[in-house]
Amino acid sequence: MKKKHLCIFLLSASLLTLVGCSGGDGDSGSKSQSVAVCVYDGGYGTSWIEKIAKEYEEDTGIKVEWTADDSILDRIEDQLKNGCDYDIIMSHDINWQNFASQGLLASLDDLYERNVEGRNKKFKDSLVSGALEMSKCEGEGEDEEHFYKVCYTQGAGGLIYNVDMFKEHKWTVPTTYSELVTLCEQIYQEGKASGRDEKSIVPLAWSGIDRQYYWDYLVFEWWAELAGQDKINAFRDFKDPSTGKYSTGYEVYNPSTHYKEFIQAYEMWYNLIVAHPEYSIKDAYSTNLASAKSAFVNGEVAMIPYAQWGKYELQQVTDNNSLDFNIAMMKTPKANASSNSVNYMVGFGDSMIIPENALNVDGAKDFLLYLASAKACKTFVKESQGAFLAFDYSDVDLEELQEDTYTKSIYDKLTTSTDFTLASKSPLAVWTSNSVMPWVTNEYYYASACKEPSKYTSSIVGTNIYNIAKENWVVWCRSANVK
Amino acid sequence: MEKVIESNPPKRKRRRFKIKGTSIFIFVMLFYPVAHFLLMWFGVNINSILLTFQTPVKGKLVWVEFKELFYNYETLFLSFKTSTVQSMLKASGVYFIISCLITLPISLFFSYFIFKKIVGNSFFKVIFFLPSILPLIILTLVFSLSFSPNGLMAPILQLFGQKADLFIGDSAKWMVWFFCIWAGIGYDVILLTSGMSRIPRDVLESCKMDGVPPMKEFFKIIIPLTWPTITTLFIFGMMSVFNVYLQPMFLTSGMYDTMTIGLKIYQDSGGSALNTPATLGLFCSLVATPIILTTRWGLNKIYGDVNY
Repeated sequence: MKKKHLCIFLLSASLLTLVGCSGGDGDSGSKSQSVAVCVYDGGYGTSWIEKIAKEYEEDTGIKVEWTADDSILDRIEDQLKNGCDYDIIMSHDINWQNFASQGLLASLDDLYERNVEGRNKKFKDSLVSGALEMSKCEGEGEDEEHFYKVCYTQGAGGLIYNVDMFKEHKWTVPTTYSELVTLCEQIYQEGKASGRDEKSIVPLAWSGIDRQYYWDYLVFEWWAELAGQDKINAFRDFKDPSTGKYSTGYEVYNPSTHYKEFIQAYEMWYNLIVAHPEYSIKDAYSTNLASAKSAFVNGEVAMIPYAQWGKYELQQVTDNNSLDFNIAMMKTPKANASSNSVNYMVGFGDSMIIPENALNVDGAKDFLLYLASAKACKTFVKESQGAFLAFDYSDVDLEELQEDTYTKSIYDKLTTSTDFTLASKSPLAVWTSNSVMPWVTNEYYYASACKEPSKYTSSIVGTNIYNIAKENWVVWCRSANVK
Repeated sequence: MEKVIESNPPKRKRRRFKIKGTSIFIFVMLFYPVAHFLLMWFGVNINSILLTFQTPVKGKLVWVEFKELFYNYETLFLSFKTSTVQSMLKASGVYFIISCLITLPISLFFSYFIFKKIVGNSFFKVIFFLPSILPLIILTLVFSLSFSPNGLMAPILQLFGQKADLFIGDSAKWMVWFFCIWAGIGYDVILLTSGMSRIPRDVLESCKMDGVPPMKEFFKIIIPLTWPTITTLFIFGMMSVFNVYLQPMFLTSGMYDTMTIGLKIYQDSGGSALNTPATLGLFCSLVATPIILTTRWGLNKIYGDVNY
């Protein structure tokens, strides 16, 4: 008898456990009243999602349960395939085309046709230029492209400078490369004249150990300015510009023809940074990011290369999470005084996706639609300290926020420059990891050049990039299955 | 007339099928490992093997055509001709030397040092064990910060006229190797000292009474009696050629010729084309398995079974 009771007890316990594990339909009623959002825990912080979630609940009565997670990319495929805890995932580096082709993402076509409340335009019209094309691909068994993602942020990168320090020393913000060189020399000479000591101001702080790629934000803009939009677009296709074939697509890296301007841009950087180590903090190329940030925050340097998340991250270094001076991002000093300003869309490949197996797909679409509203767009800028969602801000009232010099500078850069992106939908870029990109095989030369200048001159680097691309191209083409 | 005696055959007792407690116990105990094996080994590996016969078409991995069955393998062999992959293979091969020919002999020496309780052994115990108990991410961080311009080692490097920029350029790979030796010794020492501690005291006392010098004791007694542990560590060391990925990832992000097979597979697995890392992984398994098994067989032959 006792055994019988024990068996019944064990059976009941097992069943209860299974029911608990399923997390199934019994819960879906309450779930439909909430939207679960996972955001990558990075440089935008979490206060923006906290605030927008709160505003959304106030406006609609629907709760947004948000999670900030920096390991989401490790778990995302498992989440998409085996039951997702989230209705929306927002992060960089999401392989959304691959996921869409496997039928793991919800189609967003209907969302793009919906009207954004208070903006008198459809969702598809409220996106920043270029975002529509970057959000479409062929899903599972489809012959035409559909929307499977929403671009997350539109970015800006370049040199952040200490506004108060510039005013105090009567330094002018450089608008051209030659002015930048002159300014660096001036800052250096002023420091030297005042008897160089630990308090002397150095023009630049940067980190070669953790974030040498922050120099890309300048170099890429010089490249785009010198090469022009058409050449950049041709590069993104990874086809031979002369023949239109993938098989000799490595020619886009040819330093004497199609990649000439990239190498020129690298040379400009080389002449500024490598040829003048005195313009940077001591041993910047082997310094970590924390030290570089500290130098800037402590007023030891005038400028630091960064992107739109710069203010948020720089504030983290201080005791009270606040800078005691104003900062701004300058428009990248132009290579030629006569050319137009360009803006490299940092992080434009970042995505917001809705898993096909999300519990509340409709609710998730409603929330993405809400993000396009002027109110949410403004809150994002305010709470992320100067970052912008990938929506059109032309009819968003940011007057109050523009009192902040940093936000104003980012806004100016975004609205008065010609945007360009290097995010590519080419099969070569999609199907080869860390290979086909401006710095082939993801090998950066900034830090190495500072350590061994003679080994990384522009001509050597140009030849090296071309040779690596040419040697590996057939393998990459086969990996991407393009002929 | 013969009398037919009708008799009912004796009723056969119906045996009730009864699950005994032992059977339930065996079932419960076996369920998890069998399920784990089926899912985590068979399931995962079958999937990986199948991936090697797939290729991307219109954004999705599909089966290769029969006439191009070994398409991915051909691509892999083509990649072996490139300097990028050759450099990766060389960098990976170095870990055999580091693990088996440098770290293991050093660890053996220090394990004996600790085992014999030579003066200062407790200090060295802490020094060696500490890297083994800390998570690798912390260890690599501490290590790289120590060699940064403001780090602990910077003044020492300066004494030798060396800048604290060793994680950049050609010196980076040496730093990763140095880290692997430093961090690897602790792990080996833990296993070797526990192996040595199992050696019967009377064997050692007998040596002492016979006046066997320490070096002779080390080579003639200690090494043969801890041979199974040494063999295991040697095999682990060989496997590191294919396994090492976290150290170069945390220290150099795989730049400066520090890319390894393991890191390449890990990085590519984060992308869309899973067929590429699957093919590399399977090829490495096919090459490594016979080599490692033969080595194990050979090593086991040296001293035979060690029982005490």
